[in-house]
Order: sequence, then structure tokens, then C-alpha cells
Amino acid sequence: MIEIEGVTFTYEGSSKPALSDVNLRIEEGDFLLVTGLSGSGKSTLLRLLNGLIPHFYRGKMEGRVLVDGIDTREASVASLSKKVGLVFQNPEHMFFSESVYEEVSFGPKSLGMSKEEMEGAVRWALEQVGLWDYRMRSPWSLSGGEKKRLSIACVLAMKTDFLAVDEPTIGQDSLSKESLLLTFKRLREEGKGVVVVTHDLEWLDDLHPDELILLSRGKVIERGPSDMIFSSVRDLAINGLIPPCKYILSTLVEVK
Amino acid sequence: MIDPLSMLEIFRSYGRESTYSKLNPVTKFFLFVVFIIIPLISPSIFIQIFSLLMQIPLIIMSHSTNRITRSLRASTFFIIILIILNYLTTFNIIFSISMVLRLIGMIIASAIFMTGTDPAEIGDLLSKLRIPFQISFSFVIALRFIPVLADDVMMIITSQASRGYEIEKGGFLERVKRMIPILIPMIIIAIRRGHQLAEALETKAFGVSDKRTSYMRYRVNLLDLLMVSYGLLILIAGLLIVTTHLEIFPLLQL
Ligand SMILES: Nc1ncnc2c1ncn2[C@@H]1O[C@H](COP(=O)(O)OP(=O)(O)OP(=O)(O)O)[C@@H](O)[C@H]1O
Ligand SMILES: [Mg+2]
Repeated sequence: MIEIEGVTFTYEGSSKPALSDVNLRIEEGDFLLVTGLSGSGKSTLLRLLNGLIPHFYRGKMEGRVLVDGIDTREASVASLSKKVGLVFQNPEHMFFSESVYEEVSFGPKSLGMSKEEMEGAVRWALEQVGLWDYRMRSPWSLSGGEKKRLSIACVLAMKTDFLAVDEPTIGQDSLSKESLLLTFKRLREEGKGVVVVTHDLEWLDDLHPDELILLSRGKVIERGPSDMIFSSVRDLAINGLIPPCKYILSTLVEVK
Repeated sequence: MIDPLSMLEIFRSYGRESTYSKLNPVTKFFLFVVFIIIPLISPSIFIQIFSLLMQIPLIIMSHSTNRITRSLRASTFFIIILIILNYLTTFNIIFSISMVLRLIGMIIASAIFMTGTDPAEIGDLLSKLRIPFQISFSFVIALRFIPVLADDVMMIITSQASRGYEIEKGGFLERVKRMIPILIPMIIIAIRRGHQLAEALETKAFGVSDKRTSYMRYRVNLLDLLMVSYGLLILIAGLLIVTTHLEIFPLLQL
């Protein structure tokens, strides 16, 4: 279980907090969707989950984050990454291996998995994102969307209890989006906690997330089941977000 | 102890508005040169203290205390090495302290200049010094890309840490080896940025015309005159202190 308790975080050199008074509880088997405009603090929220904040990012942090009861301040990012896998917005920052296969095996190796376990995990992860046939290619030779899926596989292979993904659908065609959707659904059924940051509300509506969190200027301004929030079309529009088409239509019908 | 990120910080310009940042770039450069020269004219501890004290108004004008503390923190390693080496070679503690103050003074001068000066101003300054545009432009671009590179390094380090990778583990050699997953993405990303930049410049017709239009106009204000006089005064005062009280040491002695 991850508990975020009253966290306010201000980056060093910045006058306004990037997150203010955020409270959140994520359990195994939960599916959480985070959305909000650019700069609303979504990536910052993810950085809290495995201790990148406060270990790597300088700034002022109030409140605390507990992962399975351990304060993230007291544990290293490397040790927290056994429990919480984080996929970054930009995949290119992590690639350094000669082949896709090696790249994916880096995480499991760092965590000290056995050889058999690692091979199984790498294969499974690459199959999940449809890149098993690309395993001998160089990560840098992949297309933008493929790189993103590779970065997801790199973290999937670590078999963490929680998975947090920043903007998984960027650069993905509708087929890959569909298969990512299936992957996340399966993870959730396996009892993993999944957190997804996205602007693509249409796509996530199909996932029926347990909870949708709407961030605005670092504050959680709405939270609840996704259909409830999507139905308040006006609120979303005020915050610059376009809800999935069917909700707009039903609102229009109601107005009539 | 050597933190690559905070070292890159030294070259980062923020473009934050301050009384200092609004000065004419020539004035700022002149003051910068003054405070680089003064500590060098003599290793005397009086000169070093004098130079540090005289920088206080500039620190206040440029709101750069944060930046200075960070630059100094990033240089702790060198400062300590410098003190030890100097002491071991001269057995003169005053001299060693004086050398450290000299370094600190120069770090402060650079920090002030870099905080309050936009890379574009540095470029214009270089053109005023009749340095060919191709060269001054490359220099400005390099400065501009340092913060971008620093952000990349941060993202790379945090990406790999999130994959369970411990960068700071083991002895010295082990640590150097452990830099590989950081260095490779860094180099590839930097090279790609270079290509992208070249393409972007081409599409914007870089180098097509020999004559470039400049839209920045710099004025010389009363404050500029004041600050230049301040710089001159300090230069003279520094020389006076040296000639009347102390012998002049070789200029670049460290
Ligand atoms: N390393 C940093 N240093 C200083 N400020 C930062 C840093 N990273 C983010 N910020 C600031 O914090 C705020 C939240 O940024 P964040 O990256 O969390 O937004 P986001 O919701 O992920 O946006 P996007 O949808 O564009 O990815 C922004 O105002 C941003 O400028
Ligand atoms: Mg983001």
C-alpha cells in the first residue's frame, strides 16, 4: 500500500508549490488515473511514489509518503523500486544497451533476480508490449511509440507490486493503445496497483478506473469514480479537459 | 562529493530580473573582469578580503545568494583539495586560506555574472569584441544547452535509479564503471540534440545572409556609469593597497 499524507512540495528555485496538500492511498489491485493540464503536477506526483522526491529533486517537502509502511525518506530509491515501478514520460533517457532484450533485463538484474526468473520476466514483459520479435534490435532504432512501449516493458519486467506510468499513450496507434489497455487490465486483475497519468481520457474510460484524480495547479480538485467525474462535463471543460465523447453527448441530450 | 549536476549549475543562467541583470552587458562584463583581476594581482590575504567585501553590493543587486551558495557547495571538493595542497607545499596557513579566498572570490564573481546575464547578451558582447559570429554563436548555444543537458542528466539518473540501479556503490573504480548507464544515454542524447539543432538552424536559413539583423538595443544608464566608476575605483584601490603595503607577486601565481 502506498499512502501519501498531506504532501506539499515546492521545487528549489520555484515560488509556487508543484503539489499542495495531496492525500492519496493506493492499494494492490487499485487502478488510479491521474489527469490534468500540462504543468498541473502529474509527473511530480509520480516522483513521490518511489522516493525520487525528496531523494533526487531538491526542494521543500511537507507531509510524508509511506510505501508498505516505510517512509520514503528512510529508504533508498533503488530499494523502493523493488515495490514501485516508474515509467517516465520520455523513454529515451533510460536506453543504453545494445539490444532491446538486454535493455529490459537491466532492471531485473539490478534487483538481483535469478537467471530463470529474469528470462521469464523479460520475455513476458516484451510480449505484453508486442516487442518480443524486436528483441535483438537496438533500442535507438525503434520508432517513438515503440520506444515508449519498450520503456514500459523495462519496468514491467521488474515485477513490482505497483506500476506508475507517465503518459503511456503518447505516440501510440490505436492498436497499441488497445493492447496497453489489456496489459493494464491484466495487471490489475493480478492484484497489482496501477497508476496511469494521461491526457487521453477517451482511452482510459474503457478501463473503468476505480478512481480518477483531477489535478489543477498542484491541487487535487476532483476525485472519484471515472464516470462520475466524466459526467461533470462542465467542470472538466473549465479545467481545460475534454471528456470522452459519449459523456458530452449525454450532457447535450440532458440539456435539451 | 563531486556532484555533476551541481557543477553544471555554475554555468546555468537564469535570466531572473534584478537591478544587476538590467545593466548594460559591457558594464557587467567589466565588473566581472575587475573581480577576476583583483584577487589575482596579489596573493595577499588583505586583497582577497577586500575583493570579497567589495562584491557584496553586487551580490545584493543581483539576488544571487542562492546561486552562490550552490556554486560554492559544488566546489567544496576543490576548495578542500586546494587548502590541503597549499598547506602541504608551503606550510603557511595564512597563505593557504588566502588562496582559498581567492578561489571563492572568483567563483562568486562568475556566479554573479552568470546569474544576471542572458546567454544572448554574452553573444552580443562577443560580437562587440569583434569575435566572428559563427564563434560567438556557438559559444552562446553551448551556454544555452547547459541547463538542458543538466535536465537530461537528472532525468537519466532518476530513470536508472527507478530501475533499481545504485549509482553510488562500491569503491572508486566500481563507481566509474557504474557511470556507464548514465553516460551512454547522455552522449547519445547530446549528439541527437546537436543534429536536431543543426536541422532546425538550416530550416531557419541560418548562414544564408552575411548581414544579420540585431534587435537588441543596449542603453547606457546612469547606473551603468556609476557601476563602471565603482569598478574603476576598486581597481585603483586594489592597486594602491598592493603598491603601498605589499610587494606585487607574479600575476597568475596560484
Ligand atoms: N525539476 C523541476 N524543477 C523546477 N520546477 C519543476 C521541475 N519539474 C517540474 N517543475 C514545475 O512543477 C510544476 C508541475 O510540473 P509537472 O512536470 O509535474 O507537470 P505535469 O502535470 O507532469 O505536466 P505535463 O503534462 O506537461 O507533463 C510545473 O509548474 C513545472 O514547471
Ligand atoms: Mg508530466
